[in-house]
Amino acid sequence: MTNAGASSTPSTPPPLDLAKLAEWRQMDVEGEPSFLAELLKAFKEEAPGLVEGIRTAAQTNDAHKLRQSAHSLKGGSGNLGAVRLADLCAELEKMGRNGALEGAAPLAAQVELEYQRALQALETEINRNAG
Amino acid sequence: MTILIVDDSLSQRLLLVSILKSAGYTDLATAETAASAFQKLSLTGPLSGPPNGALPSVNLILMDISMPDMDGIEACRRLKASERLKDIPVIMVTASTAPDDLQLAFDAGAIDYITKPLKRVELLARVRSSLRLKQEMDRRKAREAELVEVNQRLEETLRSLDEKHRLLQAEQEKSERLLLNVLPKPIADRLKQGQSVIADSFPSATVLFADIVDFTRLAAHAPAGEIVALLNDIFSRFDRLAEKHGLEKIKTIGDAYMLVGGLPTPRPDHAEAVAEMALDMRTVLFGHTRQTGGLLSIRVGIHTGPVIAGVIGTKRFIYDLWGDTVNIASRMESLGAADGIQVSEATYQVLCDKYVFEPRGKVNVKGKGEMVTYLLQGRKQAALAAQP
Repeated sequence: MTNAGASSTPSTPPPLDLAKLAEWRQMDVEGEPSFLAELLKAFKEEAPGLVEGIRTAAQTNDAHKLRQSAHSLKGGSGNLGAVRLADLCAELEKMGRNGALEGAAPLAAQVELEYQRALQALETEINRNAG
Repeated sequence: MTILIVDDSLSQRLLLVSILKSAGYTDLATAETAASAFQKLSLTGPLSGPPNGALPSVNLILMDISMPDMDGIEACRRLKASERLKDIPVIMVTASTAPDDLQLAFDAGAIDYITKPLKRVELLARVRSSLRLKQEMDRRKAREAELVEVNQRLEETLRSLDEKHRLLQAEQEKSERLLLNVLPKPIADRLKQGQSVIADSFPSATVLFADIVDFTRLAAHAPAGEIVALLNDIFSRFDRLAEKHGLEKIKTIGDAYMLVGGLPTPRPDHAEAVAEMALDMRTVLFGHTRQTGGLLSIRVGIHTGPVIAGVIGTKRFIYDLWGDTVNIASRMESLGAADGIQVSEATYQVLCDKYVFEPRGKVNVKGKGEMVTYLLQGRKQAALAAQP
């Protein structure tokens, strides 16, 4: 598995699971818009709200909302192979489920960061292949 | 053949739709919430039949297990509680593979599950197998319904066949009785087997004609009803006698009675049986003579020879006799005497050892010339004694 993230170091896990992206690329039909691009577009539509939801839930100690938002973002990022983002979301979801929100705020901030990095990596990856 | 996708995440829905489309599943519907899915399935609508606006035939539901309002487990439970929708298989889409979560899904009635992040091959394999299962179940259900219907139709047909068969049998029995009234059984059997013309040649049979003497004169004096009743009484006795002696009544012609011995089942002693019959017939008439004040007597003629017997024609079945033997027997009667049993030489030759005859000399038979005839008197005592 190659590291597609521009700024990552060998010690941190790569932001993208390229095998997942390759799986979706198989579904591309000649002459139609890239499926991966479509999927990313949908993700970009729903993700900001979820990232925002995680941030406010962590601030306001809303365990239920944290759990839901983290779960949804986990699903979307997992489908796009954004494994690191998905892992962070899983951790937050667990916190929400357990009602133990200590340390949720810094994790939420990490989610925001990781979301941006994943987006960048995804766009780079998609454009690289489109080109 | 619709697949309904229920998931709150847009990208998840897009992914599911795209994967399924890429595999050739084109009939897809999506819902963001369980409530919206129920609306599409008209779960809240009338229970019988798919109501207006409902998806006509959803064959599979892909249900996200974790949704904000009502989760997939509860949604699945409600679907399975609906008589109309419970047969639609539900595949749970879940992020958790914890045994407890999966147990919950299966307890709610899910047929299978698929884990997130989705893998195309896995999703398609599970969708395919669930659809196949559903199709197989539908086929079986349809076949069961078909079998039930076929069975019902069969039972109805059998019932009506039974009834028809019963009616047919009753008809057959009736016509059989009628047929046996006019025809000897072996002859009726052959006609039933499809033989249209029966004409059997018998080398030797004995034909008897009996005529009630002076019946015409009696008829002129008595009311018609009484005459017919009298004739019916006499002939009925003759019929019983014929049966007793194993002889075949051929027909009655006015006040004449015709029968034959040795037909249709041949027997060697037909002349003797006919002689016994003639003597009995005379006894019957003696009884009646006393009743009617000596007005009635009988004239009998018998001849033995070859005859043709059979049924000709299709309209009025009658077992009849043809041949010279019949004509001669008739002449024996018409040229005979009141209370006399006149037999031909041929019959005499057969019977002379056992019966007493009085020679009558030569009689002029029309078309035959002169014939020697005899009058049967009765059984020889020696012969009677020799009888067992």
